This record gives sequence, structure tokens and C-alpha cells, in this order.
Amino acid sequence: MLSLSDFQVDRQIFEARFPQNFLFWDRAGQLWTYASRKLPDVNLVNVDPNHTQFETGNFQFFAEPSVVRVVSKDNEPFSEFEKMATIFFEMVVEFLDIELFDRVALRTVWAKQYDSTLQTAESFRELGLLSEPAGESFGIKTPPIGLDVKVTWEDERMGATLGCRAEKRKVDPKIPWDFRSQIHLKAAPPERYFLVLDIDYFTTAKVQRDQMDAREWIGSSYRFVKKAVGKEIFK
Amino acid sequence: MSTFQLDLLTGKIHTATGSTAAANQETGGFTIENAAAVSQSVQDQLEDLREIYPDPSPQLQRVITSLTEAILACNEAIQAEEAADKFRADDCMLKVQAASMELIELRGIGDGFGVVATALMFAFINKRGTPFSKIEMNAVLRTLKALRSAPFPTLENGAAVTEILEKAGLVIDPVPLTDLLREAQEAGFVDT
Repeated sequence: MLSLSDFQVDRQIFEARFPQNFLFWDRAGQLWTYASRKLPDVNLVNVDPNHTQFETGNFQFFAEPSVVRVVSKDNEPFSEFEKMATIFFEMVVEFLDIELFDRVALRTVWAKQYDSTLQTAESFRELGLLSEPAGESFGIKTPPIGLDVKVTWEDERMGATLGCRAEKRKVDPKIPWDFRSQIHLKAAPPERYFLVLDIDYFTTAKVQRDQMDAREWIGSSYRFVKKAVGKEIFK
Repeated sequence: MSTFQLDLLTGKIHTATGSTAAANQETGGFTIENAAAVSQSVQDQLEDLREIYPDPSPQLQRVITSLTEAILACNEAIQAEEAADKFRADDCMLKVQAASMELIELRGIGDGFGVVATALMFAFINKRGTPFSKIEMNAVLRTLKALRSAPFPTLENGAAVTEILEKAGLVIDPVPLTDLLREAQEAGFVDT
């Protein structure tokens, strides 16, 4: 029987959307200077006037005139993600003097690796999220292997999107870009099979700045989503 | 488009749309006339905050519980005052003071919160045990509700919330050290 503890966190995204804020164009440079002081070993990736991106380790930070987003890759501990997201969010909110958020969202992607597409599809079926047509389809006798479900719930306050899919990924060996041209890989990158759970939990009502504490909201939403996934998916 | 708003009729945070939101913003979202209708239990109101924070941390839970208790007691004090029951009104305000003191302990949740909690504490201290007038009680109630509706104000917005207390004539400045010393001398704790 599957449970959430069988999965590893693959990606975590915290995003806040707000009405167009053109202070961004005035203060993008200041933001970078401040970010380089507050975030350890941060690198500047993009300085387009409408899109600033920083990176450090497994974290990516995006700031645009109407959105701030923090992404953590791989199995980064939640506490670290929560800390980094809070630092960057508070920095951007202060620099852009944001008073209202149109949408605040936490997206968490969990993945579990399998040896084959068949095994992945089998686990997907165990969750009982999908009913498939019985028998032969499109002249193919074997059961479907590419399974993908997306469901969204939404009311006037909150919303949640659950995505579940059986996914095939090419695992890219982590070779520094500088050496890539000098190395001739003997085989194509190996393929891996994953069952992916993708939960996006978000506000649909506008949230005032004075109602929003990023650390509290991220922590609260994460705990809630984990409990809800346990209750709704792994019954 | 909807926004999260505090409904004084029910004490619930709910979403307001269009003109309702605009009207609430004009009045700061408060209608004291309706305040007496707040009668839900602390637990019920905790559930409502979960619309924004579905699984609040223990610290935030304590903040909301203390604020809700203070709001309910303040509400009762206003009702008692209206019924000319001065003793009950004073007794309820003592409960508000006790709950407000707990907010001081929780001021770590934010600078703005700390400013408001401190202002509330000094408003009580500076009253020096004299009873609150109805206007002052209403000001305390509005302050508590403002904090409960938006518990993470910035420093500036927190300072703006404290103006509600000041406008009602409450003194929110720290007690001067000389006053404390004089009181201590009068009580015989310090040699003159």
C-alpha cells in the first residue's frame, strides 16, 4: 500500500502574485545588491527588466513586476525551503512595497521512482484516481501506460489542484557544462520511471499584506496539504 | 474580486466582493453596533482563521485564541456598560487586560503586532485601575479586531492601528521611569 512517505520531494514552489508593480523597474538593482548580501553564494541568472532571476544551490528565485517565486529542486529539506522562500518573499515585498496579493500559492511535487513504466502505471492504478476503458483501445491490447490525472477544486477563498502522472524522465548525468563538449557519452542518458504527485494549493481571494506571514503560510499550507494528501489520495 | 475580511456580525473571516469590500475598507471593516452579536466560541473562530492558515502553528493559534478571548470579554464589557452594570464591565475589562498581556508574550510574531500589543498594554497600565468609558472600550475592541483580522501588520500599519486607542483618549506611551520610581517609593519598595 502506497503512502506519502514512499515519495521524495522533487520540487517545491512558493509563488505570490500581486497587481503590476512598476517600482520593480526602479529597484531591481537594489534588489540584486540586497539579495547578494542576504542569500548565501547567490548568482545572478537573468537581469531582464521584466524578469530577474537568482540562483543558489538548489534554489531559484524569480522576481517580476507582478510575481515573486521561489523554487527548490531535488529533495531539499522543507525547513530550508521555508527559510529561503521567506527571506526572498519578504525582501521583494519590502522593496516593491506590495500591499495586496492576488494569489498566494504553494506547489509541492513528490516523486517515487520505479524500474519500469508498467510498475509505475500499476502503482498509479492502485490510487484509484482513474477509471480506464476496459479491453482493447485503438487496436492496442495492453493496458495504458501513460496515465495522467489533473483535478482542481476551487471556492471563493482557496483552491487546490492535484496532478498525478506516470512519468518517464531522462536522467541527466550531472556533468559541468564546461566539460560536456569534451566528453563523449557512450550511451544515451538512462531513463527513469516516476509516479509524480503534484499539488498546488492556493488562495483565490485577495490577501492583504498585513494578513500574510510567508513562513506561517508556507508551513501551515504544507502541513495541511500533507494531511489532505494522506486522507484523500492514500486512503 | 474577493478579499479576506473580518465579519463583525459573526466574528468570522470571510471573503468580501466588490462594493462590500470597498465599503468595509472605508469604515476599516468595523461596525461597533454589530459587535455585540459576536458570540461564537473561541474554537469556532479558530476554525475561521484556517481559511487563510489552514493548519496554523501553535504560536499563531495562541495569538488567535488570546485575541478572540479578549474580543469576547471586551464585547461583554460593552454590553455590561450599556446595561449600567459597572462592576461586570470592569470585571470583563480585567479579563481583556489579562488576555492582552498574553499578546505581549507573543509579540515575536511580528514588529507591527508588537507595537499594537505594547500600546494595548500601556493603555491598561496608564488607566491605573480606573474604569474604562464606553468610548475607550470600543477603541480597545476595534484595536483587538484589527489585530485579529490582520495579525501581521508592518511597523507603520501597526502604529496606525494604535491611533484608534489614542483617538479615544487612551494613553499608549510607556510609563516614564520617574513615575514608576515614585510609585515604588510610595509603596515602600524603594528608599527615598
